[in-house]
Amino acid sequence: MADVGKTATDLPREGVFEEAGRSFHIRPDQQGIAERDEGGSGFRWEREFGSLITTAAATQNLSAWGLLDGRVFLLDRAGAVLRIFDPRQEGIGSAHACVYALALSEQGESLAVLFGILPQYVLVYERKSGFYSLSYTRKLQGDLRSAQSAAFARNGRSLLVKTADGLVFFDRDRGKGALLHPGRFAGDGEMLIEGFGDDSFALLKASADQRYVGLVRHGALEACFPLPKDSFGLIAGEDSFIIRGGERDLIFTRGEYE
Amino acid sequence: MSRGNMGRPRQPGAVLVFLVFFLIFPLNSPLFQAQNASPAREEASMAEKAISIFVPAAGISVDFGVPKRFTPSGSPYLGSGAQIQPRTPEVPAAGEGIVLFSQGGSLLSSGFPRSRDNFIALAHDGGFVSLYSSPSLALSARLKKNGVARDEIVGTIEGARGGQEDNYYLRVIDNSSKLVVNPALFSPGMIDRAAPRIEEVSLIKEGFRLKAEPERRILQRLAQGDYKLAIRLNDPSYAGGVVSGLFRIKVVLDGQVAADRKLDSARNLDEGLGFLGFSAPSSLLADRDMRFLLDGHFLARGNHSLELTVYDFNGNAGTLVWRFIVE
Repeated sequence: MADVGKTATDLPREGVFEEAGRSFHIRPDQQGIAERDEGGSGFRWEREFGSLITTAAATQNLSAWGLLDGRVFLLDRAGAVLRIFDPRQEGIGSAHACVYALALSEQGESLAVLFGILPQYVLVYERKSGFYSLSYTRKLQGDLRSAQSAAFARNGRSLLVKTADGLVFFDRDRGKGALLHPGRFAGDGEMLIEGFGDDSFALLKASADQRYVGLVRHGALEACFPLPKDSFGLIAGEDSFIIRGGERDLIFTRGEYE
Repeated sequence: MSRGNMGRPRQPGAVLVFLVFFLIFPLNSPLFQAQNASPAREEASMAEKAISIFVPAAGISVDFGVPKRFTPSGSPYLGSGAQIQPRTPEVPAAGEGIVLFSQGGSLLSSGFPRSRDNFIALAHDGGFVSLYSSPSLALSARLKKNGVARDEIVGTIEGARGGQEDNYYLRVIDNSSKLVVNPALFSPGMIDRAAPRIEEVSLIKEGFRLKAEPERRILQRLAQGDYKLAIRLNDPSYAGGVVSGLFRIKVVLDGQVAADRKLDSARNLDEGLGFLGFSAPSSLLADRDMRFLLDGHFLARGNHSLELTVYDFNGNAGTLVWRFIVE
């Protein structure tokens, strides 16, 4: 089996958010978190938020927490606040604030946010000279009211976000975004997105009783085909990814596509 | 240890709702202006109509400000809502609004897991949000996300009767004022005649704790210094399981009011939730034995008298008087 960098236990479990080798316990009211120390016997730090946590993203040294009140808290490895993002203070005019998706590039130089409703926006903040500024704004036609999947490619150069309009792809080098195959990916169907390889994304899409796997590379959909309908999880790594299924897991390696 | 002060004159619950409504909202808030625009309205329904949020009066147990424990870390935090046991496994909308957020019932194992509960949040006029949660809460498939009527079923809860999953937890948030508001303020029909109990009063200083024993014939003694007041409270349920919840804590030391704080709302601060006018996070207000930690006071040598009175939302009170000597 190819190394995917994660194991089956990395799939989400209730009350624990696990990402980038870090483990955060979520308070029952979903307004507090505590990060397990590396030994797993105690806690490194705890933090309370003034609003419900709706989504999160983490790298080895950073974590970002999206709240029901529309703010995003960016924390360092020790749980201290590095920056509080409030898109309303940057002129983003949604009728109601809330954070629905977050993605954080590995080095923390870029943060993506699916923000607000009526209308909903994809926002990308870029860090330059130590300061974050809003570098990309995309106003969406529709909106989604639950947590959505978003990820940066492993090289941090591109972003993919599930939205009501479809998949929003953002190329950081060109500073431009695009909507990928809206006919195929628009709507409120569930989707998981993970960075795969250096510059690609693996997708798992669910509709009522159908599942599809897809691969996006350099902003183009390279593959999309049906899966067993009990498929429920996605774990992507450097050269392969696993689709978790009720009866068996499917492992895809890069060679199968290329 | 405490005695219920059932004989004291009580304000009608509706009037209390009206008064505390003005206490928590600033004079320049849209809500206040809305009230001024309709002075002829009855006081009893003032808060309900102005904010258009209504919290059930039956089967309600308010835990706003009540210390809880975050397992597995063991740290305390304060509750910020009310547990509600509906007569049917349906969760009604607290007011007209739109669906702001839902979590739970996923087909896929998504990246951010739920804590323990599923959540539904409705956005209402004036920046208000009502937040519903339960382990089994499922969003109603018939709900129109941009047009939810008051009392429309937003979700269902399923579970064995009498179990935790028969309840849902309700929080009311005022985003425009950055407050989490005590849901009792939106339940004017709530009837609770059971007085809160003071289970423990202690003075704490750097690892030293003197627990009040006011029944002792010989006065208790302690050394001069700065002490924090630690109190453990309990608001028992009244008929139908109604708990209006702790609402006001008043401390009189040597005849002077040393603290008079209300659990009407908690501020949404960068560090977390700020209750009783204290700074956030809420864990600073409780210890691991689930006691409130209140203001510190310097106690000089001499005889002292401390009178603690705790009120629930419906005005029932429990009082404890403790005399002690500082050496």
